[in-house]
This record gives sequence, structure tokens and C-alpha cells, in this order.
Amino acid sequence: MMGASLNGVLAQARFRPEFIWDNRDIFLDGVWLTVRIALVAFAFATVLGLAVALLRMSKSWIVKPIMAAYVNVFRAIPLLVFVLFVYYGVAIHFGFSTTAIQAGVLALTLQYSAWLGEIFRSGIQAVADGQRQAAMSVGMSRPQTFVRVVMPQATRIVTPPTGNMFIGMIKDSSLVYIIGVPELLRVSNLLANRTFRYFEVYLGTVIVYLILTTAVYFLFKYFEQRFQLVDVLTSKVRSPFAKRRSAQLRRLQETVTANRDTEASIRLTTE
Amino acid sequence: MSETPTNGSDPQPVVRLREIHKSFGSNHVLKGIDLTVHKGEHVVIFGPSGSGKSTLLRTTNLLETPDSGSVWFEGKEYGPGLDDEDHPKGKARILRQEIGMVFQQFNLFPHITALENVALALRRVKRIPRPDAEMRAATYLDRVGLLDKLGAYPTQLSGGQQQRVAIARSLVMEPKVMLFDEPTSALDPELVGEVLAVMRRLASSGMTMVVVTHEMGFGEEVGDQNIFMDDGFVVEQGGRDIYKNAQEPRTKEFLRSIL
Repeated sequence: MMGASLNGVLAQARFRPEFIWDNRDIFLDGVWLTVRIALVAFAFATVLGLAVALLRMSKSWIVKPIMAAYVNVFRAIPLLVFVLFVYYGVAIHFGFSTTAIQAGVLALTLQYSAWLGEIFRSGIQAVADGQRQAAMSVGMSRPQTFVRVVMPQATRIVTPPTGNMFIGMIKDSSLVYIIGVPELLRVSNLLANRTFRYFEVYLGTVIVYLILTTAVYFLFKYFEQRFQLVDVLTSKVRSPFAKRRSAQLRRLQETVTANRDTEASIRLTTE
Repeated sequence: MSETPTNGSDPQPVVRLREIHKSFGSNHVLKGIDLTVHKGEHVVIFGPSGSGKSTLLRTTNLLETPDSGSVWFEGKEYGPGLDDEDHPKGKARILRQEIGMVFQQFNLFPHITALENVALALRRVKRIPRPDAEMRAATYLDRVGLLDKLGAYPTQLSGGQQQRVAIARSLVMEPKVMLFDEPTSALDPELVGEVLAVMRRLASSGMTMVVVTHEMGFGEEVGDQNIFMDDGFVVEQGGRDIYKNAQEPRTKEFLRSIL
């Protein structure tokens, strides 16, 4: 007994990094499922979150408290508990033909829709009221005002916190291991229990999560950069789009300048 | 007061407000205001802050719906209407397409360029295809002297330039009336002049204008109807001499205090 455990300790003491690479197929299967779960749950949560945000801003005395309760309930339950509740407590107990993956995605979607709903609501409300008034004053309808004026500005405001939520989703998707979904953490656990190479296995798991979240970080950073507002006529950024647009604008300027003589009487400045 | 706005030898007014009341909670902001604006007329409204002048301006295009009273525009009722009259009501959105408005804080859309700010309503409200809309938008930016800035975003423009873009954004819709809500109050002193210059030329081009302002010089120069408001009432109205020869003590006091 004593000797076996000593051997075990000695075996673990020798770090074998190639173990991670040798088991790459197992890790990749897990990662692939992790990515799919995170993407699908986040897509659903975004749509649902937008609905939550809009309904929470409704003036109805009945809708508003219901949505406030929705947000507070889903934010209040620990995710691990909620995953167990949705799968074992509801799906299995009441005999729904729900798979563990579906139950896990549902639990993640509901919780994240509450968080995202709050982020979207604050983003929409952060757009100055004068923006809506200006859009209405030129005859735009409420839906046009929302789509053309409020949404684009709110999108810029919510992009950084939404990126954080997406990183959170990738990490939190690991919690569905508890209902047997063979995502990254689950396959790592199985591999570690089978081979006793805990350090290598969990180092591999850590590295893979690090790669995933870093990729998302750079993706959202790219989105934020795309939101930077540059005057294509004066900036040195020369993307194909910027080149085409600045050529368009210069043509506009030339045409307007050429037509100036016929318009001279209605110019409002003397310069 | 059942006389209809088309009666008499008077030509039909462009805007006619009658007995406008508006409260925000327990704060009674407008206490029965009447205002008639004819084509080409320049109305200047002045008074202390909180007197209801901005609210009055905003009821004209129904950005603020009055609690009661009549909002007429070119012979059609848009407001809640008077109790003893019954007219079919026009839609606020249609009214706003005919009335331009310039705000104290400019309220340009920060996520799109100057050109796109001016072209947006042409495209989305008037459904004009993008190339035509942008050509017209560029023409109007040129009129306010900003043709070289059409690719700039609002944050890259000075306050005066932003307000001129905002004026172009309203004018491009070819409104019949322009409303100005303290258009120079948020500007640095050295930028006030360029905006007032545009407004002066717009006035002399014959545009019908209602201007809420603290620039008494502007009123003295272009004001056909000059209205002093205080505490939700029109205290006094008159021609350009009102600034020198006010009759009401409250008007005199106010004019003294700001000079």
C-alpha cells in the first residue's frame, strides 16, 4: 500500500508535458462541445436579453414587475444549483425527453438573459433623451428612431460588458459537467481519473480555457476598434472601404461646389 | 373663442396655438398660451428660465403634448383641441415633417457623420435613395458653410459647427417653420456669432421662425413678434421696440437684469 502510493507520488513528480499533446483528441472533443454550448447559449441569451430589456422598460404596470422578478430570480440562483435543478429537478424528475446538453444550454441561457437584459437596458437608457427628440423632430417614427439612432449608440455602450459576459459564458459552461455533458471539464475529469496525471490534465484544461477566453477578448477588442469614428477625408487609415467612401465624398464636394453659382442666393454663410 | 383660424381678411396662419395648458406633475408650466405665426414671420420668445418658453416651443411640434388646448398647423388640428370644437386630428409625425427644430444641445447623432446626420431623415422618412439624399445633404451642408466637414463625426466638430449641421439637418427636410430652442446657449461666446449669422440669413431668406433665445440683439434685429413670458403666461408682446420700451414692470425688470 505504502509502496504503491509512493510510486504514484514519484510518477506524478515527473512532469510529462507531451501527455497533453498525446491526448489532444480528447481535449479537442471537449473544447468543441464547450464552444458550441457557449455560442448557442449566448446567442439565445442575447435575443432573450434584448426582449427582457425592452419589456423591463415597458410602461405597463403588469409587465414591468414580472420582468423585474425574472431578472432578480435568475440572477439570484447559483448557476451550479440551477443546472442541477433544470436537469435532475425538472427534466429528469418530470420525465421530459430533454438531453443533458439541452438542459445545460437552457440553464445558461436563462441566467445569462437576465444579466444581459440588465446590461442592454442600461445601454439603451444611457442614450441621451435629446437623441430621441432630435430623431422625432425630423419626422422619424418610434421604431425608426430606435433602430437608426438608439440601437447603434447603445450597441457601442454595451459592447465591452457584453464581451465580459461572453468570456463568463465560456467559463460558466464548464458547470454543466455536473450533469454529465462531455464538454472540456468533464472529459478532463475523466482523463485525470483514468490516468492519475492530474497536473498535466488540468494544466491542459487551463491552457485551453486561456486560449478560448483570450481569443474572445481580442475579438471584442476588434469590435471596439471598428467603432472608432474617423473622418475618411482627413484620416490616414486606408481600408478599401475608407478609400471608396472618401472618393464618393470628394465627388459630392466637387458637384456641390460646381453648382454653387445657381445656389448662391440661398447660402447661409458668407465664407 | 369658436372663431376658426381661416376667418377674416387675415391670411391663414402657419401655426396657431390656443389656450395651451401643460403641467409636469404639480408644476403648471403653461397657463393658457395663445400664439399665432404667419408665413415669413419671425417670432422671438424670451423670459427667465422656467417661464415655459421651451415647453411652449416643444408643444408646437408636439414633442410635448399639451394637457389641453389647440395646436393648429396650416389649417389642420394636431393637438388635443378645444372642448367646444371638434376637428379631425392630424398625426404628430406628419406635423414634425413640416416643422424643423434646433436644440440647445445640438443633439446631433454621434455615431454617424455630418453628411449622414443630414441625410438620415431624407432616406428614412422621405424614402429618398442614398445617392440623391447625400447629394441634397451635401448641398445643405454647403449652405451652412460646412462642405469640407461632411465626413466628420460630431465630436470632431466645434459647438458652432455642430449647431450649423443641426440647422442643415432640419432645413434639408424643407420645413415650413423652423423652431429654435436657445440655439446659442450651449456655445462658447466666440462661437455664438457664426450660428446667429446663419439664423439671420435664414430669417432674411423668408423662413418662418420661432426662436427662444437670450440674445436680445437677435430679437431687436429680426423679431416681428417679440414675446416676453414669465411663470407660464405671456406677459407682454410687441414689435422690436419692446426691448427699449417695455410697458410691463416685469418685462422691464427682466430686460434690466440681463443687460
